[in-house]
Amino acid sequence: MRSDFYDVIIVGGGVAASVAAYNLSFSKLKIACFEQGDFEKNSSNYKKKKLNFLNYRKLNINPNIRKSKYDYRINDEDSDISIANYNGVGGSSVLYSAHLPRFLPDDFKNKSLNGVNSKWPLSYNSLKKFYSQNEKILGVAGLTGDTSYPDKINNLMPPVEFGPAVCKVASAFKKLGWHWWPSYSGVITKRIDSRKKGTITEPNNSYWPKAVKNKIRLFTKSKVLKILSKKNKATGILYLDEKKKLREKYAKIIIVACSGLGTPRLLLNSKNKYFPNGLANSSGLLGKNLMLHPLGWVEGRFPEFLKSYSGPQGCSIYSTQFHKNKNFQKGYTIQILRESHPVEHFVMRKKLKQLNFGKNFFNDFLKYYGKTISAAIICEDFPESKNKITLDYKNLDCDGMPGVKIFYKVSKNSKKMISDGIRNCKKLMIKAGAKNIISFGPVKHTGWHIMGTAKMGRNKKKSVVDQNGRCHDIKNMYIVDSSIFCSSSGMNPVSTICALSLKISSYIKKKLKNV
Amino acid sequence: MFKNKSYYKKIFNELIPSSKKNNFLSFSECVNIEKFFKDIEFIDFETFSIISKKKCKKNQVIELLGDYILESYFLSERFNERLVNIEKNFFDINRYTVNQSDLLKELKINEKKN
Repeated sequence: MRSDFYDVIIVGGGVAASVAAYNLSFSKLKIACFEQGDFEKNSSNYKKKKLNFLNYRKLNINPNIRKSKYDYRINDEDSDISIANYNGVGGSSVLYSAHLPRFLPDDFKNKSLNGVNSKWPLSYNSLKKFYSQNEKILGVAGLTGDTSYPDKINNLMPPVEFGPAVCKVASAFKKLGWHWWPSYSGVITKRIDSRKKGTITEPNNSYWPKAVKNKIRLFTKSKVLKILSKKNKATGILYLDEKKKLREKYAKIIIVACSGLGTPRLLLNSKNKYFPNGLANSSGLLGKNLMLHPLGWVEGRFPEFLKSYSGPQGCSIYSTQFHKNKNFQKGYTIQILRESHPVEHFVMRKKLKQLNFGKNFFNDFLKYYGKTISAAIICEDFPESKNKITLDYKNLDCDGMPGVKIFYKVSKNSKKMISDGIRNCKKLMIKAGAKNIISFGPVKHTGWHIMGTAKMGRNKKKSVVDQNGRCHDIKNMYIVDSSIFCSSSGMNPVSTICALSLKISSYIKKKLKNV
Repeated sequence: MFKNKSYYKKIFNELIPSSKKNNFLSFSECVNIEKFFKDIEFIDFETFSIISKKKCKKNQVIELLGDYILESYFLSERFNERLVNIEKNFFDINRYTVNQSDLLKELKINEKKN
């Protein structure tokens, strides 16, 4: 077999790609992955004290601030929410807070706002075994028996300890008679593989090492510029290698896993005479129906020192109490978040003009330190065709590939949800004993869950891929990332990305075996 | 112990290569930098050379200084010792009647009832 020919080429090195690579690595297929970025050596350690400072530059969530050579420009001037992502092996999981809940069964059912249907062509039940498989491989800590789900989520490590401040809020949930449950945290609480207790679980310490061990070729610093195609078939990729040399590789099957932003960017940039509007875009929906998770914020300050910085990063406990509501379409979830590291804490206080350097700095700092706890209101966003991404030819990246322009407005429905969420979270904080409460939303820098830009569906006129992730227009090309989501849920998407990628790659494996 | 203005000026000069000086505002115009330094006795000024090699524009200098000050302060032994002492002195686990294992036990009981 020619050295530049593979059975499967996976474009991307993030979460979805790692899962597909892992799953396919148990076959005899010849597989290669192409990732434009590199390994981030600080990835699994970045939450350590010293490395928190990297958040402000090298590991900033906003690529327009980070300006890594692997990033591309994202023009968000016309967007209510700015995008957060990471381009490198592990993708955005390099920076994530590792909250790993499943979507709820209801999230896969029919809903619509402004005429866009968000029904999935698959059900929660069809993803169940893949969710479970992912929880075992990636490693998820939590408590079995969550009443939000019809089935028992097993395979969980013991829950992460969340400390007295979160306990106070949990008691308040209880007093109000509202649902609450410990979060599904990506934190090792019981030693699995070679990962020590306290390690953040991520593809770079779970899926990728196993896939690479199983002889998957992972090309880093290799930027795919275009997917090559003839008529209705993808033939390979055109990419710049580590030395910026233009190369081509060919494959029987192409899997695209570049995220809700990178996937439409690549496919739109791959237009040719057969596909003048972009690859797999006969529906015209590529890049449209962008969903983010509009977010509201409520912070309570307690009079006593509560060590409120204890607990998992991201989310300690969560609630689906308002996931369904008569006052608006669908609903929101509430996530209770511990206080952040002192430096992040300080930066926030500074932005809120509550704290300044000076003689009284430390005493002022102590008015807040260890005493605050926050509730994030995560709204289910609906697909709307006016919310979209397009190629931005005015902002080319360092290799001349177009950047991305975002058009996104927070819907009236989301704004209603945020107001309702803020009201309810204030009630919650008061019940918990907080004395000073601040709130705001929608929060601008929260576009980390990017979904829906290559929608899944049975009807080829109304979707980009079918229920198996296969492009309607190109039968040997699949998409496995969050761009294929039909709805956004109020839940963090990583578990669902992993479950879908496992499902689709299992289908591909079976299909290639039959061939 | 507050550093005087001439000391800040020295650091500023150290940060910006002389060949580039014309491209920058004078020190006195960089009031933000002065503000940054005010009252921050906990900074180890000796180690400023780590960023002096960078060729920076004014805004970048301010940002770098801001980051540096934050990093130096929040990672300083003195600051972290103070935080540890705060935890020792102010946190008493016995004061908290509700603990996590009780809450989780209760959740499990309710789950069985459902």
